[in-house]
Amino acid sequence: MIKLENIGFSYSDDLNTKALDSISLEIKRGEFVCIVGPSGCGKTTLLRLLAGLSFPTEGNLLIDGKPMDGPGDDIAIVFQDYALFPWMTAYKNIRFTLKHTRKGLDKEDEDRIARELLEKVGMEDAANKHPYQMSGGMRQRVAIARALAMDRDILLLDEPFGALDSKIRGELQNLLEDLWRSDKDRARTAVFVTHDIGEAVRMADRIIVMDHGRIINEISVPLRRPRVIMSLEEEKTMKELRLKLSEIMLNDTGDSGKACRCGGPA
Amino acid sequence: MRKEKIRMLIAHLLLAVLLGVVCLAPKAKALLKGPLPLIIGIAVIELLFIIMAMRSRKKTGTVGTGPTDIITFVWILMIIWEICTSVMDLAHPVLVPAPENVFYTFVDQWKVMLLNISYSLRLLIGGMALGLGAAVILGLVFGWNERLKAFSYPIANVMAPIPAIVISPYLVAIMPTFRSASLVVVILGVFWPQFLGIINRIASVEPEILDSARIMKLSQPVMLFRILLPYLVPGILNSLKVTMTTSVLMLNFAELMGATHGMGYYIQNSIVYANYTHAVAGIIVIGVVVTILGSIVGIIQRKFIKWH
Repeated sequence: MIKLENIGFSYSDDLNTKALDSISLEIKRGEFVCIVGPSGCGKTTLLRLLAGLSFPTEGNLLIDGKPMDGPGDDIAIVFQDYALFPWMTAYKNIRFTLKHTRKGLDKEDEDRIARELLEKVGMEDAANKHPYQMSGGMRQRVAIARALAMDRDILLLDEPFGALDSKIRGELQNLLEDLWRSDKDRARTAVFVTHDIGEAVRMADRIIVMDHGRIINEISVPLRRPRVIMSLEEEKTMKELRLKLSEIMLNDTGDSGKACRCGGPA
Repeated sequence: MRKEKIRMLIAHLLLAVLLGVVCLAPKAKALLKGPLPLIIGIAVIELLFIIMAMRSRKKTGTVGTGPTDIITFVWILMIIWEICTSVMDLAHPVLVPAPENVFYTFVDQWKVMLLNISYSLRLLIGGMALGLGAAVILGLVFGWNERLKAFSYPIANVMAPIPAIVISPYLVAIMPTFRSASLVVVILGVFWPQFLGIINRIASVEPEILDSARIMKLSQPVMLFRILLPYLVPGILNSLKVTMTTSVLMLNFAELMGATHGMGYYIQNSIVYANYTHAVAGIIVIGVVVTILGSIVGIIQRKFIKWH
């Protein structure tokens, strides 16, 4: 479980401005949480704290009851800009990750798992391509495969589909949901940052709304999974949730809320 | 396409004029060597132009203005040189040697030149390898560690702009042999700019790449040599071309001061004996060697950093 107790964060060059202020939040194991909010509201800063890439200046951040003191053994991350190692092919990106994050695998295991993961994300034919030879969607598939290669319980995603067109975004949302649900034996926790309200409703069990470094609202998404094909009733619920979120964004965040996308693929 | 044909036609008309002047024009000089080495030299230049043009056409579908402009310039220069020296004897025969004599030097002196080139190259490659190796290893370690960076960066900023040429007379005086002094000149000339460049480039590595690596909890050696080093290789190779040219410059300068071998020595020795024919031939050889080394770096760049 991830527990944040009164978390505050200020950047070292501007200690008077709080990028995060009094954030208290609990994320249960296996939960899919989306964090939405306008640009600059602190979503990515919060995600970086969860990743152990930055440290809170106030409060406590606990993972399974233990204070966080750096990038944890439980955490994998997917960035908007993919962050693949550009000098490695898709296969080598995953193989490298396996070699350096999962101890005890022999070379055959590494090779087999790397190929399986590429197949899972539909990239088996692009195994020998470098990132510069791939489209944005392909790169993000490889980035997801790389995060899965780390075999960690908590998956953090920082606007992973923000730079993709709506068709590819929809495909990758389905893929991510499938992968997240596919491993029945383990409850993988996902924290997904987005400024797309439609995407948040499509992906989340719970949506956290942020503005000016604070959590201003929380909404549960009572929709069954998978959410690819939905009943009329469910579609109606989804629309209502989007509308509700849009209202929250506009009313509680003022003009900054307009920076959020209210559409997006369902 | 029509413009390209016109450019090619002009270039080859100039080549015909040059060959005509070399082979047919009455020569004014009595001490002129035979034209065969010069004609072979012209043929080699033409062959290189054809290779460049074909590669350019294969890559872009057109020869482009670059190769034709260069070859046109070369032919015009050689025509003027040939007319002013061999045909009309306008220039001083000792100070401005005829092209026939300069190209004959390559035949006459090839063993001496080869010996001096190999001497210079051994120093150059050895010095560059040591300077670059030290700069890469120390640059990675010092650039990555904040404390070491804070300590070394101001020093590197002071040292990097000082040309190694400036301290080469001092090095020649304090080092036990001239050869070791030349080596240190090249090492210093390569080390400081590369060291500073690597520290600067580490500071501008994409943060997401570093975050990805941090999340993997990579060990420091893996972080330095499997993440940072490959990321920095394109920048290192790009600057290597410039560094190599300045290293040749520094080495030749150092060789001017008391060496007994090397291309710098060869040119200096020729000038001392007022043999400007050999000096000009030596200058051309240095240009060719630098061009070949630059091409080798270019091939390495194309082969190993396609991803960049």
